[in-house]
Amino acid sequence: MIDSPAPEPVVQANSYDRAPCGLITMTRSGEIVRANQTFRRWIGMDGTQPSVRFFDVLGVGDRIFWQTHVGPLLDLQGEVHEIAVELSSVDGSPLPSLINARILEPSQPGALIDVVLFPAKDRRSYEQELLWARQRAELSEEQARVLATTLQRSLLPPSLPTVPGLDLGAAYRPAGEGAEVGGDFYDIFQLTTDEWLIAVGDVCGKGPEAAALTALARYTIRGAAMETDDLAEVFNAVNTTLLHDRSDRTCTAVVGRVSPTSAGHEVRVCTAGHPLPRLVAATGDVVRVGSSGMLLGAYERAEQEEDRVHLEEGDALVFFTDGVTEARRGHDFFGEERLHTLLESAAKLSASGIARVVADAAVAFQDGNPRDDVAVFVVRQLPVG
Amino acid sequence: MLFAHGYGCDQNMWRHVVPAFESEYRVVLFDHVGAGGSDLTAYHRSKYGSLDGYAEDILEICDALDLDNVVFVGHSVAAMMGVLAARRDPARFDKLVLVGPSPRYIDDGDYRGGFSAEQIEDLLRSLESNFLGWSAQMAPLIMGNPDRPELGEELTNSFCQTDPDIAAHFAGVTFLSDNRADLADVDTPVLVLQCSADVIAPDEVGAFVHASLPNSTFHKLDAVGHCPNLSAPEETIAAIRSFL
Repeated sequence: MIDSPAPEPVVQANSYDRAPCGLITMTRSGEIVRANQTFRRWIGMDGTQPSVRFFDVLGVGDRIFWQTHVGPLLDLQGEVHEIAVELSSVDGSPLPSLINARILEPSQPGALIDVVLFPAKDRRSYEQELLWARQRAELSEEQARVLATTLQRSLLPPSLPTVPGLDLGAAYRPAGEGAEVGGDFYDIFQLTTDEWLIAVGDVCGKGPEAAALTALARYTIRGAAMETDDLAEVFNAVNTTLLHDRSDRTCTAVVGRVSPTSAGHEVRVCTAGHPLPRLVAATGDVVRVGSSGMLLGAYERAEQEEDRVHLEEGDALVFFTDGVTEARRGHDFFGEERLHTLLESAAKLSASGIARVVADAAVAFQDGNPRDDVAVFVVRQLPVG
Repeated sequence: MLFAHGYGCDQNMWRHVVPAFESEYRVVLFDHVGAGGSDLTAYHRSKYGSLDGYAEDILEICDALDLDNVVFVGHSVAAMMGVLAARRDPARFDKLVLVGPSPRYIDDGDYRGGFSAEQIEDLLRSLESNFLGWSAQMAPLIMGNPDRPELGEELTNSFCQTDPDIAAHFAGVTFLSDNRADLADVDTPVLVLQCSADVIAPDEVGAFVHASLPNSTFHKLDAVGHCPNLSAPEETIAAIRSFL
């Protein structure tokens, strides 16, 4: 039997030159010592040039990336995979490619690097689109955060007024990372020359709809309190407004009407389904003030009762939302006991000191990531005369 | 001897060079915050928004380890960090070795840094397209276990792999820096090691550094590229040794 010799060497030489990928061998400094036809065709190397350096056919960015990342990586690992570069092709258009490379004998100064290049135009444009999509998503997230913060700020007084004889303080911490506007609010405004109204409330839910309702509740309180001296009537106005609004949302709130007395101030307090304010006496004693009335926006007629509390030098009245007491860690609530202990120890602080301590404690209890908004408002009696 | 790595990778860059000095010197290696095995949560954009933040860290390391008569060896952008540190606290440093230094990468008037501002943009794009491998799955492995670097090593291409946001920020800080004016204030003896055919810090930049420093020695290496510490460790070691 006679076997005709297979023309193998010829096939191999052709496969190197005609391989459907670029194949080159180069030195560490990028001098191409061998390149297949495919690669030469891409970059227009026709054999007449003296020598072509690999880095010359890369964009500047890729050149730096190669020097600072790929080169050292090759040296350490011996290989690199899926490195994305853009070659300048013969017609000047960029040719996005993926590169695998292997260094032979990295310890030798004259070590050679084998490089395989795959054109990856479609894949790269797809990746580019993904990248843009991500950038757009990040931008939208950032815009939503700015929008939420701006909206939130518009629901709170930009600064607290100066009220003779009283020290005022407030703290607000939005839920989560502040990407969504919450429904908690606090407010203080002047009724007569020496009378003021404090309001702290919580519209259920979050987001733009809750924010709109928060603004509605806040301004209804403002408007109604100018009309009537009866705090339950103020709440009744809010109740009616919320019922007429098409959303099913409800609201809890507490208001305090502050008037001066010879010994300090009197505060008439009325609560609608909201956590009761705490009177923190100068001595450190902490007591609840008032009685819980019905929440707003749920029933035809909401009923609440008024209570009076007297503030003398060093006494503080602390209003807050359920973001404080219902702050949760696992199955554990922040709760009233913790709040009272905290207030006892904070009794000597300024109004803003107390507000900050309470809000910070509620946030810290939830490892810095509150699940609900936290609002605290404190009014403290300054020395009289 | 305190070795500082440059932009791109980590202290591994010195692995061929360091053994030559270990018997004679106390050798200190570290990763810049944001690179290698550093605590990424310590990366604050404001602090690392200029090379001064890194220089501050170098002085802090000297302080914490009680280092005196320091021979500082800085590669690439870390060379300028060393210059800034020596300018701030000259008493700490005995000598500086700057490997492939550049006080400004971008051309400016008569100054030739080698790059245009557009080309630096191009670099940021290259980084972006090459950090696709830094997927959400991979990041926690590398970032969450700084005390277990072996986890990172198992991942391909992980050496030189940095959080993409940090890498882009560091690239911006590095390639937009301009520390030409700081050179004149450093009286410490300096060795400028210039590589051949270095696309990142070309010959004329090395010459500029040498001319601007009051007390420097210039040495041109045969080593080609930007990383003689990897490609020609013997030549690099010999040059440093003869300077010391």
